[in-house]
Amino acid sequence: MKPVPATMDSLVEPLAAITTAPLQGIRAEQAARVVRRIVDSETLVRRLDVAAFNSAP
Amino acid sequence: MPPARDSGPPIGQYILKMHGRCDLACDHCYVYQSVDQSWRDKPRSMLPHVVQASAQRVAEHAAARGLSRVRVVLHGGEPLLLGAEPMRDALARLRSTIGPVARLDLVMQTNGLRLDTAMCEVLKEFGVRVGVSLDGYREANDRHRRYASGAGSFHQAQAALALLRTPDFRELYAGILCTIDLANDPVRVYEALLAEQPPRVDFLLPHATWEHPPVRPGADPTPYATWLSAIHRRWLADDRPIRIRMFEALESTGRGGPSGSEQLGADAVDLVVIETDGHYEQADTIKTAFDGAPRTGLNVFRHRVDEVAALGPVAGRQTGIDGLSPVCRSCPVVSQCGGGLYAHRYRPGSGFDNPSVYCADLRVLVDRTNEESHMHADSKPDDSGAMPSTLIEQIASGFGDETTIGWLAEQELAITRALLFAIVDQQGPSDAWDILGTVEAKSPEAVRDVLGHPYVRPWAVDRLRGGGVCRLGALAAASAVRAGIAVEVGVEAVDGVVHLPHVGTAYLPPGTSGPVRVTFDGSELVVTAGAGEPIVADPARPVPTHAWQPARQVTLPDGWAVLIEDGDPLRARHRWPVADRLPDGEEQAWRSALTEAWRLIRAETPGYVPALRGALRTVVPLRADEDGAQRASTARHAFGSVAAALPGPADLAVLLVHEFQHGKLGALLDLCDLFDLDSDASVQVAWRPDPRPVEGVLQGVYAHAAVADVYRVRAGRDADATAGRQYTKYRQWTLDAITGLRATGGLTPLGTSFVDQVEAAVLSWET
Repeated sequence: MKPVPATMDSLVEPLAAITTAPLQGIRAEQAARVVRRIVDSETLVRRLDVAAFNSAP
Repeated sequence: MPPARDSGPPIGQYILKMHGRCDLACDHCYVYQSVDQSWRDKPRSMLPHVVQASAQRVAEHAAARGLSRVRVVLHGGEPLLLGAEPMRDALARLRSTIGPVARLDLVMQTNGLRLDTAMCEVLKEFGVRVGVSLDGYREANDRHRRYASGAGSFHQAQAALALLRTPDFRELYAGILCTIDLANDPVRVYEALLAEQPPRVDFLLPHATWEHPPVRPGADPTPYATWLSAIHRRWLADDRPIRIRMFEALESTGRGGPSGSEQLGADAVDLVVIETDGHYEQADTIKTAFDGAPRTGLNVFRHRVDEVAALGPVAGRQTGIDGLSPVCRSCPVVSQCGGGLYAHRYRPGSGFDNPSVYCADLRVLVDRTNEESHMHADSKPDDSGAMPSTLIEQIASGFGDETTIGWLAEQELAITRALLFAIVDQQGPSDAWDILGTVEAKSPEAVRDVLGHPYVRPWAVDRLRGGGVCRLGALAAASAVRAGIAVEVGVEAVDGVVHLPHVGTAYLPPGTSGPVRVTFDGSELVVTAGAGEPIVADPARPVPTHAWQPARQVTLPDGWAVLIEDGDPLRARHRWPVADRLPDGEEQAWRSALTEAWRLIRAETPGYVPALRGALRTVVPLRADEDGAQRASTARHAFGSVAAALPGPADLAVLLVHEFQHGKLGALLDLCDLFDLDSDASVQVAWRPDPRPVEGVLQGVYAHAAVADVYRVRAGRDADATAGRQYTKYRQWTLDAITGLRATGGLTPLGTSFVDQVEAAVLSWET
């Protein structure tokens, strides 16, 4: 694997949408993205991981 | 197979065929439906001695090449057919053999049909991330992904994804892989995938070669580009709600970056397949080319990985654009397309030295996604919440102006709101959630204040990790009271305490836990626990009683309002025990100390005022140290809170500045990777006896630079020798730790820039 930092993912767009939405109008997928970053400490730096979804059983 | 040189390029990714059979009979599978039928001659599963030999070869290669990181993909066939105990054995062998040599990332790609709690526990034990194959909505998925009986697999795959979304196993969820079929509605496929909330999605073009070209029904010459573009446009319109690797790869390569994908771009492909019998093979997608295409003739028992890496076709996959066909090399979009998937280039006679059989589609897709991405960016209003361009500079300066801190605080509030939504999404709606929504519609500021309480987020994080009691009722009640809206709602008492953020704390008989009713009629607040005596309070007249403590707000000059928080049970997450409910005299001592400390900060170091005023919301009293040592702490998820044992005002001023630096940097770290989260590096620092991880050192650098700054001012102003010594000490700690941080290699480019700016600020001060 080539752990080369590539581009930085960003929470800014989903957070902007969450800020303007009423609580009950927040989109589940955007909340899930925040959970992955904040609760699961997911990295924002993308890596080259060509094998991650290389092929499908 | 011809060798390229004595030792080829390093190999960092390994696909282990844990099981050679599958419980589905998908008609688009390259393993069983391709011209290569070698699976028939191989063992059904990878036996322990093959796993062990494979692990040893991987470790040997990583050690020889100095690889710090290796990825092993557990694959098939269907890897889950191995069963939970053999899987545990295999994972233990991989971890114990490779782990001491290099960081091991374990990933599994599965159809998910046999994913159950027992298997998830095994995968969790060994840190295996799981990708599941799903082709979209039910009809789309079951068009190909069927059992031998013809029955579809959609519902079973969906159940696996639901299991991966539970708090216990969410950490395992890697993403969804979707194979394209033009007969499926692309937007419906996208919506179905979105509903599964995957961390990532990737789309696979159906396997095809020039000898067996893809299906192209109708008059559209580039139907695959058309299909993917429909999703791309919707994805952009939705503000990229999930990560889609194909589109992110095109965006990255469009900016000159790498693709991170084997399907697009010219990244080096440093992977080797290890079959169930221990034979090394090339990427097995090339099974679609011809019988025996991936074969190398080498195996883990007799050959080192170096020998595989030296083989011409393996080494050739790492030459980037130079290794592509002349047609590709002359193409204007070659850096983004990269010739497409290697297997798609095959043509009898010229082998893989051709453009992709999807060349026309890829060209249109690249041009179209580039254009659509630019149009989308141009159409975004300037005030769409974009990160302030000076964010890093502002925070790295040590201070942060009002606009920057206000923006950071908004992001923190949005994070808390998202976490709350996620809790409800996961655990189901409730009366409390409905009340919060109703109050928000009438009085958004009231809900905003309550959700902005620093200890709401730590609770939400605990809850999403499967712990904690439900606190939504307390949040709903507090919001309603602050909005002046009548409410009746159930809340959970914790150890005799019901805390309503920004309103107050009810003290029930010690040990009382569990459901309690809170009612508010617009003027009177009543907390009732079972048959016990109700606790009655008037929120408009904050008078404490033995059973009710109104929130202790301190309002200071220059617009800083802060709570002395001694009621919230969730505040007990600091290094030292928190103080119990303060007696009146101690509250007064805190008020006096805060008033004087704030005066000192404004006079001595006004640069720190906007951040403290804009975002420090609570101060949590800690129990005093018996020997009189200072105690102060910040909790990572409690942005806007500082905990301390009460010192004198001058020390409190230093301590507030110091601790809130951790809060500011924590908020920045929520949004940016300043260091490699996977780094194992540690640094010996002057302020602790034990080596500290990169994040700890970064936090120390940032906070100690501010402490040095405060003492610098005091030393200069009063010619105070003690302050001067403190300044020298903290300044040197900071500079030494920066040197140590750089040496770890664990900082990202952004982190390096951040540290450079902190250092420049410190060096600008006189010694």
